[in-house]
Amino acid sequence: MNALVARAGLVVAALGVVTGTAGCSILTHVLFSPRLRECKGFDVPLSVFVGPSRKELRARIHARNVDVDLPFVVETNADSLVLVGFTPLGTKAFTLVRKGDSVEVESMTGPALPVPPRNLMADVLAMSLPSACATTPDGMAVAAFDGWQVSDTCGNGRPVQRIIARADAKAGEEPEVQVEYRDDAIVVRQNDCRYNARYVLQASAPALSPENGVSDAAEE
Amino acid sequence: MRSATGVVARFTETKELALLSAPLEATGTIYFVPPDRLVRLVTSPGRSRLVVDGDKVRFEDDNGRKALDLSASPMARQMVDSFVVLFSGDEARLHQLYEAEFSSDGKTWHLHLSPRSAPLDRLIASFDLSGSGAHIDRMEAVEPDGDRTVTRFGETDAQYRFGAKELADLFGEDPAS
Repeated sequence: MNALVARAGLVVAALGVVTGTAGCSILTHVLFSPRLRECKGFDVPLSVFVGPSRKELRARIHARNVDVDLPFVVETNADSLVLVGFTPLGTKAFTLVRKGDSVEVESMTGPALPVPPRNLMADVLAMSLPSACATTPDGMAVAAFDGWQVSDTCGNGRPVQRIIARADAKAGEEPEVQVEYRDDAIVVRQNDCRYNARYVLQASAPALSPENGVSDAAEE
Repeated sequence: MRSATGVVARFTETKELALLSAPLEATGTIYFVPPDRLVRLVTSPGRSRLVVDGDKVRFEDDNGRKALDLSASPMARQMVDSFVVLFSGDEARLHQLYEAEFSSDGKTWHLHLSPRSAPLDRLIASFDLSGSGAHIDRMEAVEPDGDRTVTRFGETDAQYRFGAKELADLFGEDPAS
């Protein structure tokens, strides 16, 4: 084997190992030793979404004893949701496939994922629920989705803050989910699980076509 | 930090996952400084940086920084040791880790690597590298489930001279981040 070529090849092989495939799972397993519990509560049927969507996001999850970075991609349409999580180093960490109400999760980094993928799914659903802020530029836009009341505080036609509570919640009862749409990130708080997740949208496609002023809130 | 000679290469990475309707693409630059320092800078989508500096690995993006001290994990240590073996061009050790098949027509070459044992064989099915001379043009990594990552390299400089300030910028920690 030509020594020069071998050396070059070895370097790139190593780059591949480090950046895209093997080994990273092992490293991440160490990174990910504490575990967040699975949230119970908020969920909506996929049929509430206005069209197919794909988002590449980076999440930073903060909770007691948990501080995790997690890049992932999520594809949704009216029938299915696919979420693929990657380790911070680029290798596949887990997959989640939802068809209707059936959810299957597969972990590539061992049984104890630091953040249950179902929590990420719930966060994505919460931030992406259609918003009617386009028709309520500055004020409150309240909508109902499958037993949940979604109250958006709008600014310049975009959601600034979202509160999701059970439609039958009593006065003063803590909402299930709070979403804050910042310029640089979307912050989701799941009150049942007591964690904050900060999501940075890296890419999205295809852009949804707002219909009647209703669009995916996370892409605005 | 002193100056050093290493490798700089642009890359375009395409991940083809069976579950997704379209590939995921990323572009950026890789910096490698022998014997054990590496930066993978992704500039699209978003901006992130993976820094491997001996025992230390850290990841930085818009959400902040995560660090891992490999001395805390013998398993992680073992994995990074294997990377260092690859970087150093230790062919004997390479053959301990991988079944290697090399072919060349004089101008271009191809290297096929298959892990010999766990844990690598549970994570990767094969690497296929191809290029010409000292340059690598393409690398394909296939996972056991068939998902694959193809990385194409360009503007490779295998004799890049890193200045001291550049090394500090690449590997130094920004206390503000």
